[in-house]
This record gives sequence, C-alpha cells and structure tokens, in this order.
Amino acid sequence: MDQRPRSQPSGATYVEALQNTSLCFRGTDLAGAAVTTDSLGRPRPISGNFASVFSLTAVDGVRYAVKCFTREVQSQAVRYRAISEHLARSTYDWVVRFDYVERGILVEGHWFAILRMEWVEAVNLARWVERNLGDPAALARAGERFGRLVTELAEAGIGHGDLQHGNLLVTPDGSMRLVDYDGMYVPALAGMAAAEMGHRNYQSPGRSTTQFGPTIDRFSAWVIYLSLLGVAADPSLWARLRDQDAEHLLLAEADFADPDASLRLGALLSHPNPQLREVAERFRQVLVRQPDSPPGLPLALGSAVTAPLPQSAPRPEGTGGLPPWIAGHLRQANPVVLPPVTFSHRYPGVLRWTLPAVLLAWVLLVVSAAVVPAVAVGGALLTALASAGVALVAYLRQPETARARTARAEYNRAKWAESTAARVHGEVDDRTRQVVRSAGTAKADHDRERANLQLEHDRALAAVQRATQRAVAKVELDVRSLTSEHGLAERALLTTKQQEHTRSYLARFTIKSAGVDGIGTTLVANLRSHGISTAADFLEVEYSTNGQYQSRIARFVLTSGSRVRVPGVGEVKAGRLDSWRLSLAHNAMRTQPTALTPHDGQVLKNRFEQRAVALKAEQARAHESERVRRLELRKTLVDQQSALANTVRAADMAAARARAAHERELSESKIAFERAQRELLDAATLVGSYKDITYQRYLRLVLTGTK
Amino acid sequence: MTYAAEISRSNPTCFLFLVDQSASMGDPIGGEVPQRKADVVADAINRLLTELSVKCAKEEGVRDYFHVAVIGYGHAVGSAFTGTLAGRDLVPLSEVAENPARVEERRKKVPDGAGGLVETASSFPVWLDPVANGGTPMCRALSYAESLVSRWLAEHPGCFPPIVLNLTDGESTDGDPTAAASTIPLQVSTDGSVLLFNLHVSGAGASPTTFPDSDASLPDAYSRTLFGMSSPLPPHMRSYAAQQGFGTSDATRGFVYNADIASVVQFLDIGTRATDLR
Ligand SMILES: Nc1ncnc2c1ncn2[C@@H]1O[C@H](COP(=O)(O)OP(=O)(O)OP(=O)(O)O)[C@@H](O)[C@H]1O
Repeated sequence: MDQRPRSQPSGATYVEALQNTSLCFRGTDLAGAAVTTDSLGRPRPISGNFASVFSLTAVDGVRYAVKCFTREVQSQAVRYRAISEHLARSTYDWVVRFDYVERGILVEGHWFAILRMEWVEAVNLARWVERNLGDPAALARAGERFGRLVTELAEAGIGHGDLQHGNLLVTPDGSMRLVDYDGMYVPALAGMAAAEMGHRNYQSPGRSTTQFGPTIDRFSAWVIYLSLLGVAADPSLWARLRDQDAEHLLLAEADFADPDASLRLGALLSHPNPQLREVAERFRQVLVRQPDSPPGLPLALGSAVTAPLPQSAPRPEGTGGLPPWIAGHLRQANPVVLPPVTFSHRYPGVLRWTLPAVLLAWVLLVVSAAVVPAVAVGGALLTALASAGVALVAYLRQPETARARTARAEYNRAKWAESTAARVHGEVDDRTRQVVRSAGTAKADHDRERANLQLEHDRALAAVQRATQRAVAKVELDVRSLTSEHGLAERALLTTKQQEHTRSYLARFTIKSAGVDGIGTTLVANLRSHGISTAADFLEVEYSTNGQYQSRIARFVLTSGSRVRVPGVGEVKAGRLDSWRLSLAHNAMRTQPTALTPHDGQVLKNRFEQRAVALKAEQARAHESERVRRLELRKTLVDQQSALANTVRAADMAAARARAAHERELSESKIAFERAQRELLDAATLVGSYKDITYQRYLRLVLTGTK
Repeated sequence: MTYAAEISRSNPTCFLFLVDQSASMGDPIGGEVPQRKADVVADAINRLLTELSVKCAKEEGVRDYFHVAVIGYGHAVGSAFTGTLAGRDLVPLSEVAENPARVEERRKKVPDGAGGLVETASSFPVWLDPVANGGTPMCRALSYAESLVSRWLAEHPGCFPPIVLNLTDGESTDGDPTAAASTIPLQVSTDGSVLLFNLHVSGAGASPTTFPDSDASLPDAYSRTLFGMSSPLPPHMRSYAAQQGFGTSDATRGFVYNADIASVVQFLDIGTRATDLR
C-alpha cells in the first residue's frame, strides 16, 4: 500500500507474530517459547500506551515478561543501555532485571527491539489496596515500604518518571517491585529530555518533558504516599473518594489543578486523624506553593499515621437497658450481713401479768369442759381470742418491733428512690446518645450536601463546556466550508479574468482591417450599424432554416445575448466571420492567464481571511464566555462550600456544647443513682437483720420461750 | 483544550463503525490481488476490533474503555454483528473481545528473516461477515449514528468525543451524505465534537492515500465528498500520525483512500497518559 517509513508494529500485529515463537524469535533463546494465551487461545497481552507485555516461558522453563513496543521512543536503545548499567550495580529488591534486545522479535520480515524482563508474579498497587482494605496494618506497611523505595531511588540518583499504581507491583509476600523503565532518569542521561510525562493522575499540572532528573518523582511520590497513609488510617476513604475502577488512588488530576475546590483533598484535610490531616495539609501547601519542586516525603510524620481511630463501642444488650458501667457496679456490690435482731423480753412491761392470767383462765375452761361442754367450747374460743389479742398488744409494745417497722419503711423508700434514680439516669443517658447520634447524622448530611455541591457544579460546568464545544464545532464547520468557498471563488475569478483577456484580445481586431473574403465596405458599415465592428462584438453565429426559401439564415449572437441579422451577410459570409473570430479566440486562449495574479489572489484571500477572522473571533468569544462562566461557577462553588463549612462548624460547636451539657447531666444523674443504690443496700442490710421480728416468732417466744 | 479527556473505565467513550453493505460492495477494488470491497471492509473492521481489544487489555483482561457498535447499511440499517452479539448496538469492549462469532485460521507467507518465505498460520477473530446487497442508505446510517451518539453523550457528557468511522465505496443512494454528515460534528462532549472518519474503498484506481490534507489528488466526486465530510485529525492524533511517517498539516483529515485504517487505533491515548501536548 502507501509508502512511508517503517513504524512500530501495533499490538495486534505482535499478537499475530507471537503465535509462532519459533519464527518470531528465530535464533534467540526465546525461540519456541510458550506464550500465555487468552480465552480465545491467542497470546494474551497486557497493554499500555507504548507497549504490550506478554508472558513467555522459554524452552528451558524460565518465565519472562516480554515488552513489545508499539510507539517509537526517542533514543530508546541509548536510554536502556544507560539504565541497565546503572541498575546493574544496585541490589535493591524492587529492581526488575531486564535485557534490552535490539534484534528482539521478527514481525512481518523486520526485526524490532524488545525488553526481556524477569516475570514478576504480582498485582498492581490499586488492586492490591482494594484487596487489603480489611488489613490496615498491611496498608500501613505498604506506605512504609513505599517510603523506603522512594528514599532508595533518591539515594541511587534515579528518577522513575512514571510512578503510579500500574507500575508498582506488590508480590504475594508484600514486597514492592517497580516496572516500566521507559521514562527512567539515571545520571548518565543528564541533559536529555524526558521520554514521557507520566500518568495524569500522578503528575503536577505543570510537568513538562524538560524536567528530567533525579527529583522527577517527587510529586507522584507525595500522591501515592498520602493515599497509602489515608487508606491505612481509614480504609473507608477508598470507597468514599473513588469511583469503582477509577484509575487513581485517593487523589486525581482535578485535585491538583484546583486544590481549594477539591472534595477529595478536603476530606483528607478535615479527617479526624490529626497526623493524616497534617500530611494532607503539607501536600496542599505543595500544590499551592511549589507543585513543580515538591520537598521530599515527610516520612517521620507519616509513620505516626497508623491504625484506624477507635470506634465507640456499641451498647451491649441484655443488661436491662442500663449503661454497661452501671451493670458492672451492680455486680460488684458486695452485701454486708448484720447479726439478726431478736426480742429482748418475753413479756413487755404492764402486760407481764395479764398474759399469764388469760392463759390460766383458758386452762381452767378446758378442764371444766368435761362438765358443761357447750360453755366450755364458747369460753375456750373466747379466751383464745383474748390471749391472741393480748399477745398482739404485747408484740407491738416490744421496742424491736418499732425499730423493725422503721427499717422496713426506710427500705421501701430507698427502693423507690433507687428505681426513680435509675429511670432518670437511663433517660439522661438516652438523651445523650440521641445528641451524639444526631450529630453523626448531621455530619453525614453535610457530607452528602458537600458532594452534591460538587456534583451540581460539575454538571453545570459540563453544560457550559458542551455549549462552547457546540459553538466551536459550528464555527469549525463554517471554516471548513469557507475553505471550499475560497477555492470556488478563486476558480470563478480566474474564469472571469480569462474571459476578460479574450474579450480585450479580440477587440484589437477590427472587421474593417480583417480582410475577410467578401466583407467589403458596405457590409462593414452594415455590421457596424448592428453593433459589430471587432471580433469581440459577437460570440458566435446561429443558423436557422427559412422554410419558405429553403435557405439558412445567419444570426450573430452579441455579447449582450441578443441576436441580430445583418442585411447582406448570409450564411456563407457569416460563417467566414465566425471562423475568423474563432481562430483569433484560439490565439487568445493560448496567451490567457492560467493563474490569478498575486495581487488578485491576495485580494480574494484578504476577503476570505476577514471572514475567517470573524469566525475565529466568534470562537474566541465562545471560549471567553466559557472562561467567565467557569470562574463564576467556581466562585459559586467555593462560596457555597465555605458557607457550608461555616454551617458545619456552627453545627459542630452546637453539637459539642449540647454534648457537654448532657454529659454533665449524665454524670450528675449517675452520682444520684449511685447514692440511691448505696442507701438501698444499707436499708436492705438493716431490714435483713429484722427478719426475725415478726408476730409469729413472738407467739413462739411467748408459748415456748425459744427466741 | 479539546480531545484531552481521559479514556478510562470510569469515563469511557464509544466507537461506532458504519459499514456499507450495499450491492456495489460486491465489486472489486483495484490492486495486484483483486479483492471485493465487502471483504476489504469486513477485514478492516475485524482487524480494528482486535486492535482495540489488544490496546485495552490489562492484567485482569480487556477493560471497558470503549463501547463499540458496528452498524451495517444496505438493504437495512442496523447492527452488523454476527454470532452472539447479533442485533446489539453499543456493546462494552470486554464483551466484544470475548465474543467473536468465530476464530478463523488464516495462512499467509511471511519473510523468515533469512531471505526466504515461510507459510504461517494465525488465528483471526471474526465479528462481522462481508455482505453486499441492497442500496446504500448512507444518509440514514449517518443519522442512525447521530442518534446513538447523542444518547451516549447524554449519559457520558464528559467523555473523550466518540469516533464514528464510516467504511464505504461512497455511492450513497439516499441523497447527498454531506448534509447528514454535517450534523455529526455538532454532537459534542465537554471535550470536543464527535469525530467522523471515513475509509473509502474504491475501484477507481488512484493511488492509496492516508490522511490527506486536501482533496486535490483524490480521483472522483465520491472520494471528494467523503473527504469533505471527514473531521480534521485532532492535534495529538496528527502528531502520532506524523510519528508514524505520515505527512500532516493543520488541514489533515481523518480520511483514508484504499489503505489501512487500523492505525487509527494507535492514535488513541487510552487510559491516563498525560499527553505530550499540554
Ligand atoms: N516484569 C513484569 N512482570 C509482570 N508484569 C509486568 C512486567 N512488566 C510489566 N508488566 C505488566 O505490564 C503492564 C504494562 O507494562 P508497562 O507499564 O511497562 O507498559 P507501558 O506501555 O510503558 O505502559 P504505560 O502506558 O503504563 O507506560 C504493567 O502495568 C504490568 O502490569
């Protein structure tokens, strides 16, 4: 097909070539290697924008990653040689060993270079983080590990050029490997330009290819380090700050361009973890002050950002609605036992004699019952009642009885007071929880509101941008049709110029001096009187048949388009005049202009340029109005965000105050409750010691004398 | 800044192929080995789909950076997939990659690197079969594409502008396609207007041309019309084209005459490469 310099094969072309490894690696140690295949049985690529990488197992069983380049990289061989030499001296565990093979792979008859690397069994950093969200300690170690890698790169004077999640592979044992050395800087390459500019979600908005040195990774290192610290401190950030499948860690391109409006950075800057907040703040400073020359990583500070915040423990069930610490108290209370109180006298004071007398009467009656049974039964009942009544009076007169009564009343009061205090305390506790809970809901609401502000802004901005694009596209189409119009106009003008040329050429030849056969003075005069005196005055001759005379009539077509018959000029003479004019016209054609004069061309060009300028101005206006709207939208966003931030701050303060007030109330009710409990315990102890001071026991004492 | 949006799974774009399947596609194109236009076009699309799948393959498989439709126009206008995907419009690329109608074994002779030729076999996934029947309702096909694209843009307003690639012999039978084509670039995302590229397969016999910047050397009215409909290549694509050895200028259009179009996939910056152009 078309002729052009040989370019790098495409990914699909490599896939095709790799279906025959004996051929494509002919004469190299990869000849006949087995390629890992996909579900269709074709060689399985892992592609980037510059290359496709394939997994191959050589005949000797060694597994390689073979990188086949799809885009040309300036002085690739020189770069790789320098990198290879530099890394050969190092012993870092993140280095992936490789050979740059210039006659690497035969594709459609031509050899192309490959990079043959040791195969690293690992997953990229983003996938690894995702899989390890449940293990904050592992995430923290990854942060530390990454910090070390960055230190080692600096120590070796190396800049990788494209630090990002796809080039940081984590092996099953947790060690980190760095791949893709296409853009790497080593000291031997000083003075060259960067071969690439890295991943957009990891680079400073101002990065250019002229920055190429040992510090090119600084910015991306901050992005990765801050992200790893973030997920280690709070794994929930992963889902909160990224879309699923997003090609970044916790921060992306838009956050670097406009840190003040950034939702993601905002979340890190206001995170409850103070150390994380601090690292985020330092990165914000980098973005604002020195995005193109960031300082090294704050490793000491970073190592202080550790495990997630302790979560407040959930309320345990099954303790009767009491807060856990109260339940604990109840269990610990250790009851004291007092010695039981007994009655001090068998017959108290005045009743000393009454009782024996009544009892004696009862005994006499029982004896007399043998004689008069009816009287005896009635009397016995009566005396029994009397003696019970007397015993009751005696019981009530006992000093212990009164004391027991007091103790029991006190116990009942204490019991009531305790349950009231418990209820009050429970209520206060519930209210306090309510306050905490509603503060939590308010926070979630605010989070959502903040996200909505951003969403709304993004949507409005997208609408503005699309309007601009539409306007630009319209202008673009107009410009395109202007171009073709210009071409047409040029062609039209040329035709006019050619016609003018012909006319002025022909005008130089008069019929009078033409000497056409048979055209004498009379006819010359006739012709002139019909407006024809030079070859330019008519365009052609038309003939028509005169039915009456069976002859043809000749009519001259004038430049005005009208047709005239000239007396005396018949078919033959007209024919002669016509061919005379035609041969002159031929001569005219030979000398006619074939292109516009520079001047004419320029005049035309100027006219179209003016229109093009007008169109460009329209385009510029569209861009300008977008710029203005964009600024307005951003201002609205920032205003709304700061208004929201104020609301949040006020709400936080109010919540904190309410919480403090409730906590004070809570501790007061706790003290009251504990006091009531203590009193209840004391009352219970006392009541316990009076458990033998009962009427029943007294009767037993009176009758049997046992206490 | 246009044509700079990231093409990623969270911000995918779409690729629409319009395939002329009219009766005139049964005619041969010139060249040493005469081929039917329909075969050339079907091969080009199968090749493009393979190229896209390879380009978007990562550790875990093919990623959905693109959704792809193949629209045929001939006796009808509609999906031209055969096999499992038959009847579907926009399909996520991973699904396309997994579901060719079949994988053919193709044999060809290639240089063996030692001055000789050897025959090798390689597998060639096929999603689309050559068809040549009916008229050429190109205007209808273009407006069908426009409606697909506008639906896509409503859901993905911030995407890299969709690319519509029309493969045809240019002999529209339902009117001058210029008008239908001119509304396509008026479909826009925040990142620029939709790109319309054309591959002209023709028996007119002029020399193959890739990404020309004027219609001066094009053989006929069909090719000039198609050239006129084609979008200019965005700057970064132009610079990739230049890197690959094509002469380019500001006026370079996404138009190819009887030559390979698969290289257009090479021009796409997939994922999140910071382009060299900012
Ligand atoms: N030695 C290796 N072992 C295992 N996998 C590897 C190896 N080298 C590269 N890979 C895989 O191949 C992918 C692409 O490789 P690489 O980044 O070198 O290509 P690239 O075209 O330069 O990509 P990019 O567009 O990211 O610059 C890597 O993300 C990684 O998953």
